[in-house]
Amino acid sequence: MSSHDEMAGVLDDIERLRTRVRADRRETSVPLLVLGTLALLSSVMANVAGGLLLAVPAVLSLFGLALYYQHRERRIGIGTAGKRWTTAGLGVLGVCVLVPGLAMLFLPPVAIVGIVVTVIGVRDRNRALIVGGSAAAVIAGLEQWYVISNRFWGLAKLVGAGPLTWWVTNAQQFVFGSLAGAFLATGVVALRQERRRA
Amino acid sequence: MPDGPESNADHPTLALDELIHQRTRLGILTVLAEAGRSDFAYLRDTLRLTDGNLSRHLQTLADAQLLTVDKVFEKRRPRTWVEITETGRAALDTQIEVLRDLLARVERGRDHSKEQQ
Repeated sequence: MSSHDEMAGVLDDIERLRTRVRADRRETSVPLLVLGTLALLSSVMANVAGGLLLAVPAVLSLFGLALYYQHRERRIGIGTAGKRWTTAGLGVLGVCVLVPGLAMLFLPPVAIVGIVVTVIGVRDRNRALIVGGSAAAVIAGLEQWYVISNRFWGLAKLVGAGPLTWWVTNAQQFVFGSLAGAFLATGVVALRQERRRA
Repeated sequence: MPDGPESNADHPTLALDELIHQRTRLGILTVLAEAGRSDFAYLRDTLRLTDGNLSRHLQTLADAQLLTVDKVFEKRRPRTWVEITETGRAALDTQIEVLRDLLARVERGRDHSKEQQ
Protein backbone atom coordinates (compact mmCIF):
# COMPACT_ATOMS: atom_id res chain seq x y z
CA MET A 1 0.00 0.00 0.00
CA SER A 2 1.84 3.08 -1.16
CA SER A 3 -0.35 6.01 -0.23
CA HIS A 4 -3.10 7.31 1.96
CA ASP A 5 -5.48 7.58 -1.00
CA GLU A 6 -4.88 3.99 -2.01
CA MET A 7 -5.57 2.71 1.51
CA ALA A 8 -8.71 4.82 1.74
CA GLY A 9 -9.73 3.48 -1.68
CA VAL A 10 -9.33 -0.13 -0.55
CA LEU A 11 -11.42 0.49 2.56
CA ASP A 12 -14.08 2.22 0.43
CA ASP A 13 -14.10 -0.73 -1.97
CA ILE A 14 -14.55 -3.13 0.95
CA GLU A 15 -17.50 -1.11 2.23
CA ARG A 16 -19.07 -0.94 -1.24
CA LEU A 17 -18.69 -4.68 -1.70
CA ARG A 18 -20.23 -5.36 1.70
CA THR A 19 -23.22 -3.13 0.89
CA ARG A 20 -23.75 -4.80 -2.48
CA VAL A 21 -23.52 -8.36 -1.15
CA ARG A 22 -25.80 -7.50 1.80
CA ALA A 23 -28.39 -6.12 -0.62
CA ASP A 24 -28.14 -9.23 -2.83
CA ARG A 25 -28.32 -11.62 0.11
CA ARG A 26 -31.11 -9.99 2.06
CA GLU A 27 -34.74 -10.65 1.53
CA THR A 28 -37.31 -9.43 3.98
CA SER A 29 -40.66 -9.85 2.27
CA VAL A 30 -41.17 -13.61 2.61
CA PRO A 31 -40.60 -13.87 6.40
CA LEU A 32 -42.95 -10.89 6.89
CA LEU A 33 -45.62 -12.50 4.70
CA VAL A 34 -45.24 -15.75 6.66
CA LEU A 35 -45.64 -13.88 9.97
CA GLY A 36 -48.75 -12.19 8.54
CA THR A 37 -50.23 -15.52 7.46
CA LEU A 38 -49.56 -17.06 10.89
CA ALA A 39 -51.14 -14.07 12.64
CA LEU A 40 -54.15 -14.36 10.32
CA LEU A 41 -54.43 -18.03 11.17
CA SER A 42 -54.24 -17.18 14.89
CA SER A 43 -57.01 -14.65 14.35
CA VAL A 44 -59.27 -17.11 12.52
CA MET A 45 -58.60 -19.93 14.96
CA ALA A 46 -58.48 -17.85 18.15
CA ASN A 47 -61.63 -19.37 19.61
CA VAL A 48 -61.46 -22.64 17.72
CA ALA A 49 -58.06 -24.22 18.27
CA GLY A 50 -55.38 -24.17 20.89
CA GLY A 51 -51.72 -23.35 20.55
CA LEU A 52 -50.59 -26.89 19.81
CA LEU A 53 -52.70 -27.06 16.66
CA LEU A 54 -51.22 -23.74 15.57
CA ALA A 55 -47.73 -25.09 16.27
CA VAL A 56 -48.02 -27.33 13.20
CA PRO A 57 -48.26 -24.43 10.69
CA ALA A 58 -45.61 -22.55 12.70
CA VAL A 59 -43.09 -25.39 12.37
CA LEU A 60 -44.11 -26.03 8.77
CA SER A 61 -43.66 -22.35 7.93
CA LEU A 62 -40.10 -22.41 9.35
CA PHE A 63 -39.24 -25.44 7.21
CA GLY A 64 -41.00 -23.75 4.29
CA LEU A 65 -38.80 -20.67 4.79
CA ALA A 66 -35.73 -22.94 4.92
CA LEU A 67 -36.67 -24.54 1.59
CA TYR A 68 -37.45 -21.16 0.05
CA TYR A 69 -34.10 -19.69 1.12
CA GLN A 70 -32.18 -22.78 -0.04
CA HIS A 71 -33.85 -22.46 -3.44
CA ARG A 72 -33.09 -18.71 -3.53
CA GLU A 73 -29.45 -19.30 -2.57
CA ARG A 74 -29.06 -21.80 -5.38
CA ARG A 75 -30.63 -19.29 -7.78
CA ILE A 76 -28.57 -16.21 -6.85
CA GLY A 77 -25.41 -18.01 -5.74
CA ILE A 78 -24.88 -16.59 -2.24
CA GLY A 79 -26.01 -16.97 1.34
CA THR A 80 -26.38 -19.46 4.15
CA ALA A 81 -29.83 -18.48 5.44
CA GLY A 82 -31.35 -21.83 4.43
CA LYS A 83 -29.26 -23.59 7.08
CA ARG A 84 -30.33 -21.09 9.74
CA TRP A 85 -34.05 -21.52 9.03
CA THR A 86 -33.63 -25.31 9.03
CA THR A 87 -31.85 -25.19 12.40
CA ALA A 88 -34.57 -22.89 13.75
CA GLY A 89 -37.31 -25.21 12.46
CA LEU A 90 -35.66 -28.22 14.08
CA GLY A 91 -35.21 -26.27 17.33
CA VAL A 92 -38.87 -25.22 17.48
CA LEU A 93 -39.98 -28.73 16.53
CA GLY A 94 -37.81 -30.10 19.32
CA VAL A 95 -39.31 -27.70 21.86
CA CYS A 96 -42.86 -28.54 20.70
CA VAL A 97 -42.21 -32.28 20.99
CA LEU A 98 -40.25 -32.25 24.24
CA VAL A 99 -42.04 -29.52 26.20
CA PRO A 100 -45.31 -28.79 24.36
CA GLY A 101 -47.05 -27.43 27.45
CA LEU A 102 -44.26 -25.03 28.28
CA ALA A 103 -43.83 -23.79 24.73
CA MET A 104 -47.50 -23.29 24.00
CA LEU A 105 -48.58 -22.06 27.43
CA PHE A 106 -46.18 -19.17 27.52
CA LEU A 107 -45.71 -18.38 23.87
CA PRO A 108 -48.10 -18.80 20.95
CA PRO A 109 -46.62 -19.96 17.63
CA VAL A 110 -46.63 -16.47 16.07
CA ALA A 111 -44.50 -15.29 18.98
CA ILE A 112 -42.14 -18.27 18.64
CA VAL A 113 -41.67 -17.61 14.92
CA GLY A 114 -41.34 -13.89 15.78
CA ILE A 115 -38.42 -14.71 18.10
CA VAL A 116 -36.78 -16.82 15.39
CA VAL A 117 -37.21 -13.99 12.86
CA THR A 118 -35.69 -11.51 15.37
CA VAL A 119 -32.66 -13.71 16.05
CA ILE A 120 -32.05 -14.27 12.32
CA GLY A 121 -32.57 -10.53 11.72
CA VAL A 122 -29.88 -9.72 14.32
CA ARG A 123 -27.45 -12.21 12.75
CA ASP A 124 -28.13 -10.85 9.26
CA ARG A 125 -28.13 -7.22 10.45
CA ASN A 126 -31.57 -6.84 8.89
CA ARG A 127 -33.46 -4.07 10.70
CA ALA A 128 -36.84 -4.87 9.11
CA LEU A 129 -36.70 -8.47 10.35
CA ILE A 130 -35.63 -7.36 13.84
CA VAL A 131 -38.52 -4.87 14.10
CA GLY A 132 -41.08 -7.24 12.53
CA GLY A 133 -39.99 -10.29 14.52
CA SER A 134 -39.87 -8.51 17.86
CA ALA A 135 -43.26 -6.83 17.24
CA ALA A 136 -44.78 -10.26 16.49
CA ALA A 137 -43.14 -11.80 19.57
CA VAL A 138 -44.20 -9.02 21.95
CA ILE A 139 -47.76 -8.48 20.67
CA ALA A 140 -48.60 -12.18 20.27
CA GLY A 141 -46.85 -13.02 23.56
CA LEU A 142 -48.90 -10.42 25.44
CA GLU A 143 -52.10 -11.46 23.67
CA GLN A 144 -51.59 -15.05 24.80
CA TRP A 145 -52.60 -13.69 28.22
CA TYR A 146 -55.29 -11.39 26.75
CA VAL A 147 -53.29 -8.36 27.89
CA ILE A 148 -54.22 -6.35 24.79
CA SER A 149 -57.77 -7.63 24.16
CA ASN A 150 -58.69 -7.02 27.81
CA ARG A 151 -58.13 -3.32 27.13
CA PHE A 152 -61.16 -3.52 24.82
CA TRP A 153 -63.24 -4.17 27.95
CA GLY A 154 -62.09 -0.92 29.48
CA LEU A 155 -62.69 0.87 26.21
CA ALA A 156 -66.22 -0.58 25.97
CA LYS A 157 -67.02 0.74 29.45
CA LEU A 158 -65.56 4.10 28.54
CA VAL A 159 -67.72 4.51 25.43
CA GLY A 160 -70.78 2.97 27.09
CA ALA A 161 -70.85 -0.17 24.96
CA GLY A 162 -72.00 -3.47 26.44
CA PRO A 163 -69.65 -6.37 27.19
CA LEU A 164 -71.29 -8.39 24.41
CA THR A 165 -70.57 -5.85 21.69
CA TRP A 166 -68.98 -7.67 18.70
CA TRP A 167 -65.65 -5.86 18.92
CA VAL A 168 -65.36 -6.75 22.62
CA THR A 169 -66.26 -10.42 22.23
CA ASN A 170 -64.00 -10.72 19.19
CA ALA A 171 -61.18 -8.62 20.63
CA GLN A 172 -58.52 -11.32 20.26
CA GLN A 173 -59.42 -11.90 16.61
CA PHE A 174 -59.23 -8.15 16.12
CA VAL A 175 -55.73 -7.96 17.68
CA PHE A 176 -54.33 -10.87 15.65
CA GLY A 177 -56.17 -9.64 12.55
CA SER A 178 -54.60 -6.19 12.86
CA LEU A 179 -51.18 -7.78 13.34
CA ALA A 180 -51.77 -9.93 10.26
CA GLY A 181 -52.89 -6.92 8.21
CA ALA A 182 -49.80 -4.93 9.21
CA PHE A 183 -47.42 -7.79 8.34
CA LEU A 184 -49.10 -8.68 5.07
CA ALA A 185 -49.14 -5.03 3.95
CA THR A 186 -45.48 -4.52 4.92
CA GLY A 187 -44.56 -7.81 3.25
CA VAL A 188 -46.25 -6.82 -0.01
CA VAL A 189 -44.49 -3.41 0.01
CA ALA A 190 -41.13 -5.14 0.70
CA LEU A 191 -41.81 -7.67 -2.08
CA ARG A 192 -42.48 -4.89 -4.60
CA GLN A 193 -39.30 -3.06 -3.57
CA GLU A 194 -37.24 -6.24 -3.88
CA ARG A 195 -38.67 -7.02 -7.33
CA ARG A 196 -38.00 -3.46 -8.49
CA ARG A 197 -34.40 -3.71 -7.23
CA ALA A 198 -33.89 -7.06 -8.97
CA MET B 1 5.99 9.01 10.79
CA PRO B 2 5.06 10.82 13.99
CA ASP B 3 7.29 8.80 16.33
CA GLY B 4 10.94 7.79 16.48
CA PRO B 5 12.59 4.61 15.17
CA GLU B 6 11.95 2.63 18.37
CA SER B 7 8.24 2.58 17.55
CA ASN B 8 8.84 0.89 14.15
CA ALA B 9 8.82 -2.56 15.75
CA ASP B 10 5.09 -2.31 16.42
CA HIS B 11 4.24 -0.33 13.31
CA PRO B 12 0.95 -1.59 11.79
CA THR B 13 2.51 -2.23 8.36
CA LEU B 14 4.24 -5.23 9.97
CA ALA B 15 0.84 -6.64 10.87
CA LEU B 16 -0.34 -6.61 7.24
CA ASP B 17 -0.90 -10.14 5.99
CA GLU B 18 0.85 -10.42 2.61
CA LEU B 19 -1.43 -13.27 1.59
CA ILE B 20 -4.68 -11.32 1.78
CA HIS B 21 -3.16 -7.88 1.33
CA GLN B 22 -3.65 -8.36 -2.41
CA ARG B 23 -6.73 -6.39 -3.45
CA THR B 24 -8.56 -9.23 -5.21
CA ARG B 25 -8.08 -11.66 -2.33
CA LEU B 26 -9.29 -9.01 0.07
CA GLY B 27 -12.36 -8.64 -2.15
CA ILE B 28 -12.99 -12.40 -2.22
CA LEU B 29 -12.82 -12.63 1.56
CA THR B 30 -15.04 -9.55 1.95
CA VAL B 31 -17.76 -11.05 -0.26
CA LEU B 32 -17.56 -14.38 1.54
CA ALA B 33 -17.55 -12.82 5.01
CA GLU B 34 -20.74 -10.96 4.16
CA ALA B 35 -22.47 -13.80 2.28
CA GLY B 36 -21.13 -16.73 4.31
CA ARG B 37 -21.06 -18.81 1.15
CA SER B 38 -20.94 -17.95 -2.52
CA ASP B 39 -20.75 -19.78 -5.79
CA PHE B 40 -17.93 -19.30 -8.28
CA ALA B 41 -20.04 -17.34 -10.78
CA TYR B 42 -21.23 -14.80 -8.21
CA LEU B 43 -17.66 -14.13 -7.06
CA ARG B 44 -16.41 -13.87 -10.64
CA ASP B 45 -19.17 -11.46 -11.71
CA THR B 46 -19.10 -9.33 -8.55
CA LEU B 47 -15.33 -8.93 -8.56
CA ARG B 48 -15.12 -8.76 -12.39
CA LEU B 49 -12.48 -11.45 -12.69
CA THR B 50 -11.74 -14.09 -15.28
CA ASP B 51 -12.31 -17.76 -14.42
CA GLY B 52 -8.60 -18.51 -14.40
CA ASN B 53 -7.68 -15.53 -12.27
CA LEU B 54 -10.36 -16.28 -9.69
CA SER B 55 -9.37 -19.97 -9.60
CA ARG B 56 -5.76 -19.10 -8.83
CA HIS B 57 -6.71 -16.73 -6.00
CA LEU B 58 -9.17 -19.25 -4.55
CA GLN B 59 -6.50 -21.95 -4.61
CA THR B 60 -4.05 -19.68 -2.76
CA LEU B 61 -6.63 -18.80 -0.11
CA ALA B 62 -7.79 -22.41 0.22
CA ASP B 63 -4.19 -23.56 0.71
CA ALA B 64 -3.93 -21.10 3.58
CA GLN B 65 -7.19 -22.56 4.99
CA LEU B 66 -8.92 -19.19 4.79
CA LEU B 67 -11.76 -20.69 2.75
CA THR B 68 -13.07 -24.03 1.58
CA VAL B 69 -13.98 -24.96 -1.99
CA ASP B 70 -16.75 -27.47 -2.55
CA LYS B 71 -17.40 -28.84 -6.03
CA VAL B 72 -20.84 -30.40 -6.41
CA PHE B 73 -23.32 -31.41 -9.08
CA GLU B 74 -26.65 -29.59 -9.08
CA LYS B 75 -29.19 -30.72 -11.65
CA ARG B 76 -26.41 -32.65 -13.39
CA ARG B 77 -24.31 -29.52 -13.73
CA PRO B 78 -21.04 -28.91 -11.90
CA ARG B 79 -21.08 -26.03 -9.48
CA THR B 80 -18.38 -24.66 -7.19
CA TRP B 81 -19.35 -23.28 -3.79
CA VAL B 82 -16.84 -21.32 -1.74
CA GLU B 83 -17.19 -20.83 2.00
CA ILE B 84 -15.12 -18.69 4.33
CA THR B 85 -13.56 -20.37 7.38
CA GLU B 86 -13.31 -18.90 10.88
CA THR B 87 -9.57 -18.38 10.23
CA GLY B 88 -10.44 -16.47 7.05
CA ARG B 89 -12.97 -14.31 8.84
CA ALA B 90 -10.46 -13.49 11.61
CA ALA B 91 -7.72 -12.74 9.06
CA LEU B 92 -10.01 -10.35 7.17
CA ASP B 93 -11.06 -8.56 10.37
CA THR B 94 -7.40 -8.15 11.38
CA GLN B 95 -6.46 -6.87 7.94
CA ILE B 96 -9.21 -4.26 7.94
CA GLU B 97 -8.25 -3.17 11.46
CA VAL B 98 -4.61 -2.79 10.37
CA LEU B 99 -5.61 -0.78 7.29
CA ARG B 100 -7.78 1.53 9.41
CA ASP B 101 -4.97 1.91 11.92
CA LEU B 102 -2.51 2.77 9.14
CA LEU B 103 -4.91 5.27 7.64
CA ALA B 104 -5.44 6.93 11.01
CA ARG B 105 -1.66 7.16 11.51
CA VAL B 106 -1.17 8.78 8.11
CA GLU B 107 -3.95 11.27 8.84
CA ARG B 108 -2.47 12.07 12.25
CA GLY B 109 0.93 12.56 10.57
CA ARG B 110 -0.59 14.93 8.01
CA ASP B 111 -2.32 16.97 10.72
CA HIS B 112 0.96 17.10 12.67
CA SER B 113 2.85 18.40 9.60
CA LYS B 114 0.22 21.07 8.95
CA GLU B 115 0.44 22.28 12.54
CA GLN B 116 4.24 22.57 12.27
CA GLN B 117 3.95 24.64 9.09
